Amino acid sequence: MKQNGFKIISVLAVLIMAIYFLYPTWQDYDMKKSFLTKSSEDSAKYVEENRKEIEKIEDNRLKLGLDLQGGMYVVLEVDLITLLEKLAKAQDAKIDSMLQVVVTRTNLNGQDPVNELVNVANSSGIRLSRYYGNIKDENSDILSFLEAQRDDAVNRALQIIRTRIDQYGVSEPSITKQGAGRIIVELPGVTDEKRVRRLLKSTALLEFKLLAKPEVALNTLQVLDEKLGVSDSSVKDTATQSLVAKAQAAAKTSDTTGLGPKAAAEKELSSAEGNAKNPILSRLQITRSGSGAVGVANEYDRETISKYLNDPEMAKFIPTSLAFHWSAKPVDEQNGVKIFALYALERDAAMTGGSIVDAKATIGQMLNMPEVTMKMDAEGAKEWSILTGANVDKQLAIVLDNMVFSAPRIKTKITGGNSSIDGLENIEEAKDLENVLKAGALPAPVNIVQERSVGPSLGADSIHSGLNSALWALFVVAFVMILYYHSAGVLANIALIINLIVILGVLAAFKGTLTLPGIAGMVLTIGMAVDANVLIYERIREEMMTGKTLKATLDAGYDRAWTAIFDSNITTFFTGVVLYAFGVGPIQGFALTLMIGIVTSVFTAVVFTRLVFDYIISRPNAKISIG
Amino acid sequence: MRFFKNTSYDFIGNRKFGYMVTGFLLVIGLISIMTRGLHYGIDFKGGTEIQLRFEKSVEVSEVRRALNFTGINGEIKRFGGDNEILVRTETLVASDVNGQRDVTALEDKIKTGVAEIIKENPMEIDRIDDVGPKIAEDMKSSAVMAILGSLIIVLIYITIRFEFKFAVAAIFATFHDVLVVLGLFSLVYGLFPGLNLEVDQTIIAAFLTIVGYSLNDTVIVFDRIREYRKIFKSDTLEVVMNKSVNSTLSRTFMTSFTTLIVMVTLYFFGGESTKPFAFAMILGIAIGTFSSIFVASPIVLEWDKWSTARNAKLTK
Repeated sequence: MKQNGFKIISVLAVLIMAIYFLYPTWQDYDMKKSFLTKSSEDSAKYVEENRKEIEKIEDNRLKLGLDLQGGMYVVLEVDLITLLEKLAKAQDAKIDSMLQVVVTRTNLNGQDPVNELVNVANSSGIRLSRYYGNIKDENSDILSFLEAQRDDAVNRALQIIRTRIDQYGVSEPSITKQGAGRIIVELPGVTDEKRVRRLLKSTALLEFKLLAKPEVALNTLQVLDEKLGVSDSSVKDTATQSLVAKAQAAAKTSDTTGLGPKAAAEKELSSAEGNAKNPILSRLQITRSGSGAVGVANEYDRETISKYLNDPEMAKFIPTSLAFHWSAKPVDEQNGVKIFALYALERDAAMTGGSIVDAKATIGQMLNMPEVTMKMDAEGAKEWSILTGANVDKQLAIVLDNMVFSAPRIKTKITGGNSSIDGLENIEEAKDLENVLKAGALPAPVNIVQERSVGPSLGADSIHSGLNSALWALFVVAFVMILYYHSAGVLANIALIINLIVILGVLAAFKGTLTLPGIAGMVLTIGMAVDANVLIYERIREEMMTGKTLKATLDAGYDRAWTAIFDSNITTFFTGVVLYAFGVGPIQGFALTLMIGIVTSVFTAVVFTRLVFDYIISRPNAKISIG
Repeated sequence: MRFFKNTSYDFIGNRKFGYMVTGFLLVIGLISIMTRGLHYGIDFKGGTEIQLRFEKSVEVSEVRRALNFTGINGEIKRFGGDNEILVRTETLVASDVNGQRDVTALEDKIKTGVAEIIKENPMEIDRIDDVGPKIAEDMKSSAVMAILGSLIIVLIYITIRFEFKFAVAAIFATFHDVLVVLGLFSLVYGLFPGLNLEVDQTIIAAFLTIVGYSLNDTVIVFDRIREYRKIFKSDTLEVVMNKSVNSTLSRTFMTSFTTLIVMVTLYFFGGESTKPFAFAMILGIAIGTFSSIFVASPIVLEWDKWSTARNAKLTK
């Protein structure tokens, strides 16, 4: 056994690691279960007290795919053809027909429209500088110019979508860029698909709004607090009811649904702290500095305050001239909790962003600090000069999709339509602001090209049937193995169970998601994982017939089976890699579990069972029964 | 318990039987693909699929009437339980301002129609799958790339580990398996009520798994041939092959059997959406096992005979 020290350590290490990575998943399950027995007030209190820890658990638990927990998967495509049309300096029949060719081609080959346009122009000998860039530019220069414009447009769309999803308040959303012009949005637990579609598709609204008088804003918040104090009991009741419903629904679907305790807790924070006299002002730190914001609040309080501000009952107490908007990005961070600023603005926009022609982030020549220059068209410039002239020394908020991105102070009346915004922290901030300002100038429409929505009840059904089939498969295979290989079969079954634990552990460790095809992959692994053991056992049986000693038999069995195990598994592994590379969404989940399963099954069969056999034959009168 | 102990079936000698079976399956499969065609899922064709769940059981004809009421003329069929219905439209039912398919409008139409015609049976939407034509085109090409890519990678690997002859034979056997399953998919489409044998992403995943599985089987036989060729140097390749297939027979049976039963459990317990996958896998495992015995090794043998004959001719 001495020579097996390394093997023992490696088996133990793998098992401990797997359990370590699965522990948060268990904690999560356990906590959700405990919520069912606790009263909603108790659960709310628990969530509030252990918020950091719960977030950590949620971050590390094994995530379920949208097909299992319900939710929405949307692929958006930025309409680059429209962008190319808009960017063209001259609109004539030639560019129209070229773009038409690009549309037909890209529909067929899925290539990037920008590249395709340059190809079309090259092949028909047309100089694109007539339409884009500088007149002396070669087509290759135009290509890089258009590519930059394209990336800009996609990044802009990405930013707009991020802000909107952020406002919508989904737990654990994922927004990623794919290829040249596609954006993938994954929203677990979303049930209102219509609203999400509207949210994703509508064009961005850029507005300039003047700041309201701080006194008015504060008075309004005080009034709201008073009214909320009075109507508190009713608020509390509805909040409690909705929490109970939510907790039960969450437990029903799977115990690990995305609408975790965080969302539930936020919902009911109002009831738990309902006795606080000032539900809004107790959460908002009033700022007295000249930033222009009314106050700041952390990300959790932000959600609660928003809920009150958006409550239709409360809306009638907010003056019609006043609108509250949050800062788009956190203004600060304290112990990992983000702090946001609340602005009180005039409800009616002083101007919209439609007249912005261009915006650019640069380093200002005067102060050598980052700034953003902005250009407006003639009509916009006129309006702009009146607006800035009448409001010198006041702050003007730049609002995109109801979020405040910046609130610069108007220094002087701006005529001619060229403005610059300075006082920015760094070039990244300037770049972001440039993107925001361009959202009005160069709208590239975003289309939904694919959608996959799964309701929570179907997700719950899928989990149920997935687990059911996995258990049945495990049971039947275990039975067959014991029947065929007796006690060696039992050993193979233990290896199989370790295998499943390790697969889930690896999945959790790599922050993979478990999907329905993923479960199918695990079921398949149950069938195929015993293969390595079967190979070894069959080989041992063959070797036994040659009349070797027990130890020699085992050695020969394992040694000779090894090449077959290695070669056969690696070919299957390769197909898994290919599937992962070319597949999308759920299919990748299948490929991932399949690949992990291959590695773990080889490990358990070759290392773990061997270890046990070695232990058995090291004892006196050792006997092995493999049927 | 023990099956196939010290067997000595003459698999290779009877390879003509194997050729007949695979030839037959291939031919009827290909004929079916050519005449009956393959039915693609919306993944590859584009379109919208909406899965409805009614509170009580519902007749397909009733749902059809309800949907026709609001102008939806898609495919309507049962999906799973008798209260579940799948609606599919490939044509544009409603479009938004940008000329894209408008799922919200479609959803509303379904809800209105059902609320109007099927009154006392509330319905909810369980699942919406909407695939645009461009995405469908992309998915189709990446599916083809995936299958070809995996075959090429494996060709290279087996050439390195064994011989080119073996690699070609393994690839041929594997490709044969995929083709036969595809043919059977076309052939039995519509024969089993409630089983949606459409070719979509999940089926491509099944095909790739079959590729992996079948190769696994083939490689294990090849591995034994590689070993026995060194041990039984005086035996002809045919004899070595027979010995190899026979001595791995017990393992082949056992692994195929366990994999087959897990796929059968998946078929019955895994829910509606994994059924086609499990079905493809069951066919694939059966055919893959068969081909690793009757197709892969015999091809190597035929090739070897042919090249020896040619060499003999050349030396003459």
